Amino acid sequence: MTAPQTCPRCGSKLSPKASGGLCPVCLLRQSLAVFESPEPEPRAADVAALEAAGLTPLRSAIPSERFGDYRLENEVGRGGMGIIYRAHQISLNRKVALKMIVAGPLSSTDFAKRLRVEAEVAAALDHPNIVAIHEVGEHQGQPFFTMRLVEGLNLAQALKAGSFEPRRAATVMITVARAVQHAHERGVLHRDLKPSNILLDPQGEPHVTDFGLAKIVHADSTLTLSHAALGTPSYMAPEQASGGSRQVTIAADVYSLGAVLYELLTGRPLFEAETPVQAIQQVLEREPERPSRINPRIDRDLETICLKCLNKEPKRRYVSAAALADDLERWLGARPIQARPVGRIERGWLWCRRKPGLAALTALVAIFAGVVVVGTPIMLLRLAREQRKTERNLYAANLNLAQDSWLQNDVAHVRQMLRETASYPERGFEWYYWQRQTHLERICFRHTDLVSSVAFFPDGRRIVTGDEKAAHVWDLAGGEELLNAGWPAQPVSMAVAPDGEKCVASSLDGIVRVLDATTGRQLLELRGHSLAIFPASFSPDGRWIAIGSVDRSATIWETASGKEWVRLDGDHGHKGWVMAVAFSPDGQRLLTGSWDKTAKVWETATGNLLLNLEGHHDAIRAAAFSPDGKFIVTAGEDATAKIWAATTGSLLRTFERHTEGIRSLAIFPDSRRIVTGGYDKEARVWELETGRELFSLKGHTARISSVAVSRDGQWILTGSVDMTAKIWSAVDGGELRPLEGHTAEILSAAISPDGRWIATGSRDRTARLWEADSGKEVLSLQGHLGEIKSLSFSPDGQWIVTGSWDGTARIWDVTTGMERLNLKGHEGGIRCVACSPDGRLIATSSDDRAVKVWDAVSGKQTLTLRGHDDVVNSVAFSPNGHRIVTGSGDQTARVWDATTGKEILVIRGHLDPINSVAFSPNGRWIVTRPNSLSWEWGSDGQGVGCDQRRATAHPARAQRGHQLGGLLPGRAANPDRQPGRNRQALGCGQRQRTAHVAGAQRRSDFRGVFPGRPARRNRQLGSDSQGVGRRDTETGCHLDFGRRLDDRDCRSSGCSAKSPSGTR
Amino acid sequence: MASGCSGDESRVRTAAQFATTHWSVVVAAGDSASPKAQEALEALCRRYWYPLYAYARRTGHSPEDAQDLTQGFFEHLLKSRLVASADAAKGRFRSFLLQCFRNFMGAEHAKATRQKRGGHQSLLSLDAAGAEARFGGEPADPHSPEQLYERNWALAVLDETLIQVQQEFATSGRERTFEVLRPHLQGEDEDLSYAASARKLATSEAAVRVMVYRLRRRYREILNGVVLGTVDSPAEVEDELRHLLQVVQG
Repeated sequence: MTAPQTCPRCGSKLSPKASGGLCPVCLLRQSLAVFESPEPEPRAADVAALEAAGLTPLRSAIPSERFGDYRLENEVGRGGMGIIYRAHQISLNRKVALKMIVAGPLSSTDFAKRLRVEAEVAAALDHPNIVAIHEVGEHQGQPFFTMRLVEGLNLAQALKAGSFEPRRAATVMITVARAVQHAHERGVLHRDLKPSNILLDPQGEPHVTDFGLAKIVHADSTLTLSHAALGTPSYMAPEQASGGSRQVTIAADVYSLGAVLYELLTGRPLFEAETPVQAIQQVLEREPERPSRINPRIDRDLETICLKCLNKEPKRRYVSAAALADDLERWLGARPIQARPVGRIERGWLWCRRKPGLAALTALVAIFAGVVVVGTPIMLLRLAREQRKTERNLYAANLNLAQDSWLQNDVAHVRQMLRETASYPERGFEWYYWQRQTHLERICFRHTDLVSSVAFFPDGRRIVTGDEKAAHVWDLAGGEELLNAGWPAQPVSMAVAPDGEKCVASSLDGIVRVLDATTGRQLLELRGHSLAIFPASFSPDGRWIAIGSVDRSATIWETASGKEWVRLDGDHGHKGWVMAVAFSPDGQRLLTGSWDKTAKVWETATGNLLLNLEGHHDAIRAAAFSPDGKFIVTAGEDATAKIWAATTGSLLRTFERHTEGIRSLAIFPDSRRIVTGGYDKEARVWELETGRELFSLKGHTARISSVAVSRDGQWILTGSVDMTAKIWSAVDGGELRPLEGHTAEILSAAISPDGRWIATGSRDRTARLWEADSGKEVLSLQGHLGEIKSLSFSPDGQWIVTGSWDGTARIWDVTTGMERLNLKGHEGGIRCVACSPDGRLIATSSDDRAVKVWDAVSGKQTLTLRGHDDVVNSVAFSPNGHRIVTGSGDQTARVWDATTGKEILVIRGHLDPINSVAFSPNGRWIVTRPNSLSWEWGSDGQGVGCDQRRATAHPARAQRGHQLGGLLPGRAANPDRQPGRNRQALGCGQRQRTAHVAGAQRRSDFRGVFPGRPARRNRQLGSDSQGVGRRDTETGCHLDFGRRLDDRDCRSSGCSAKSPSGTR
Repeated sequence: MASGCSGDESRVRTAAQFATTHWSVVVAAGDSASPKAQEALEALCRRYWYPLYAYARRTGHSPEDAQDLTQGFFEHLLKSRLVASADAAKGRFRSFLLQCFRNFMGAEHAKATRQKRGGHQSLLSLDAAGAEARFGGEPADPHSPEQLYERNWALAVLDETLIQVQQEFATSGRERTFEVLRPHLQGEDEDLSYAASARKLATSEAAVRVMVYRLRRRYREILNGVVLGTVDSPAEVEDELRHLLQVVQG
């Protein structure tokens, strides 16, 4: 049977092997529909026809054809409210349309009574384009009403043939709008205008039906929110969809008219939604796509008219249906229209309503329930606010989940969280951080199938990967696929010959094939094992190929002739599948690893057993000799790797960091490091000599099937059943880049305004400049006689000022590293330096309780600010450069005039020395951080804010986002809004001599960033002393990512920085 | 361990019987070792093994491993008293089965697979070749193993329903009628006219209309029954159906 790939009804993908080729979505929808509105019973006449055909009659009753005064002829349509029949009114001998109302659980009598009241109002409407209501009644408990019968299609049916020609659409809508205007003038709102409520008679004249009825039906359907009761809200105005009936005015009908016009013009509904809630969400949040984008024939003016009706703000729509009709007439007559196009800015502010994802849905479900069920009107504004709050909470929650998933090595889930938050407009550093963390590899080779094995070519320029369908050869430089050689059978393992010209692949069909690595042509078939084969391996000189098999034997073959040389089995042989084979570097010995938990070493020439290695608790899946020939490494299902002495076979040590079985291992050419990979999705690089893990490679979302190391030891290649192969830096896995060079603790750090450079100051009396992307040391600034406590880049990034314990501040040229100026004058060590925003002034604070201001060009001292009674820990300029704020050990912060040096304000209230101060970017706030503010928000961990406008000091909410040590002016509370740029935060531990850059960068420029984790330290220590974090100050949600900064480091070193652009 | 009934027998059971022979029975028994619970569990396992197989495959296991795991798991499930655990009563069979399977894969899989490789004493005969062929047709991505499991579960429910309806038609010798009317189960469609079906069946359009109505109603009854077999109360059927719809829409 040839089943179509997609369902013609709903567009879902079909699986020909399931559900008998039927569409599962349609099957389930069809079956679920009955929960919402019962499927109408077949007509009596049809049952009779069936009976006449000799088939069994239906068991259940159906309505009789006679319905009170009416005789039902046939069903002509159905909608949210019920089923419409063409009927004959016996008493008056006329044809009518009879609509039976599906009223849900309401008392039908009560319903009919109210329906009658409302319908009487509507019945008073006498307009040729409004379908008049004849009678409202109830028959055998079934409420119904009758209307004038309009033979023909409704607009919804007519639209199935496609959109309307623009002039025709305008003409139809003019008539409809005039009819609606007629009703509005008589105080009747339609409330449910939609294509199916507009009928076209045989002459093509439109007639509006169901006037005023929606109010009753909707108002009473409080018990169920089913499709049937509510209909699709896609044509409803936002205020109507969210606020219930009380807010509905003429403007809502105008909106609906616009929605109908939109559909006539474009041939598609304004919004398409699966559920009412989703529809409402779209109505509230999404801006419609411009009609001219869908149908280029649509005139700009007509589009403007249409979009004016669809404005989310009722006030901005046409004041009446008549005004709409008038403008449409103007357009038809080619006269200037009154509506003005909606500007970009106006559209722009609605960003927050767009694509809110799950967050909005959550909020809406709650609000929707409140609105419709309880009947409370809720203002749009509040809705938007709630929604933003929900979004923010959701974002925070998702990123925290991402962190948890990362720790559990569920990279797929981290990615999913990132995808779900990708459209969140305020995503910040943390998002990019995780984005970067999940893509630490240098190159990713995507496959369409599970990657089962990977190998480097000896030239280091190419790799070969094998998936279930083909062998692929890739060029590393360009990432191009050089060869794609299909497999006759599913391959298990592949190896490249030492000459780089051949590959050997073993497959489940028991045949080992030797292929030409350039052309993919098959050179040899080695048939010696009847059962599925595990790995094959070349001897170092390429002369021999070893094969392991499920028949419990291993064999050695001559490459040139393709002849079997020796078979390793018999009494000493393995008792289980041979799953690993490897030659010794001299080719004289062969190592085999088996399901029987043992590894064996054989003499290649004779096939004699030399060693039997026992110690694994489970099957051995990988085995190798170290290149220096001294060690044997085996690894397997017991999640351990074991190192054995190659000569004696004694077990030296066990590596136990993997949490699940190991499938593959590779030893670095220097015989010092090993990489292992397996079920736990992580590849780990560890030292052979100590068994210490150096780092791990995280990023695969499923089991790692194979690992390899390049001959130069620079690169690691991993292949995974997640259908990717990845190349990683073997130096650090891409994850971290220590800035190594200082010989003593680093005390200060800064990032240049353009983000290119990082400067660090150290107890070793030097400052160093590093290239941020590569982590390379560029300059060492030497001259200070004491440790460098503080440093700052000039706003133009041309120079650095350093403040030292030796009492001097020095200015250095960033390009040459030359000392430009030496600012002498303080009588004590300098604790903090700051540059004015225009780069003309430098402020220094000192142990001598003074703050000095210097001319950055001449080096002349211009001001001395005296007032503090203790050491001045911190100094900062206001963003406009007019003010200086200082924080001191005397527990005060002071604000000074930067021109006159006059003290303007003293901020008291802290019970501890103030460690750092900063202005907010708008200059209105000062943030101070007392010395005792601990990571866990110590008792005096309050920030003090001072509103300069009112010039009174008062406590404000603490800026607890500053977890990076130094104060990050304004940025902590305001997530970075420059997506796509490099984002890094810099931190350095008090007792460390290295600094690390934590960062996030787009995938495209992977060369750059190596987010921070301390080098050469074990994970436990690392997580104690290093980290980045941020708190969303508005929601109070803690966004914790990376590792936390120890509070001691945070407090006493104070040497973290964020670039002024906020990107590093 | 011999199975209590053959596959065909279980298929011809009516929906009414299903409603009282499955998950609720297992839960009610509180002990999977009781004969009734065993029978119910076996029927369930036979019906829903493919979703687990596909799950195992998508999590990276080879066809052999996946087959062994699935086999081993059912053996484990039927022999152990897992179901007696308190959690079982709270959830749906769908979630319960996956949860158990995951645990089984995590903790036991190495042991179990090796045992199976040694013996191959199959408890349920699973069509491994067919399964692998079907798995080959699964979408490559972006389904996670869990999503794939859920989707296959939904399809298994629909498959089972369709087979039962078909069986009913077959017992009354109306296979041809079913074949013609089957597409109408999916709802109204312009390409699918009653008139065309009527021509194929050499009857009137009106008659087809009624037949389709009845077919749909029967389909729904059976579908509800099948779903009821995997939840522990009739009140949950609608919710579960909605969930399945959501899953297949995924």
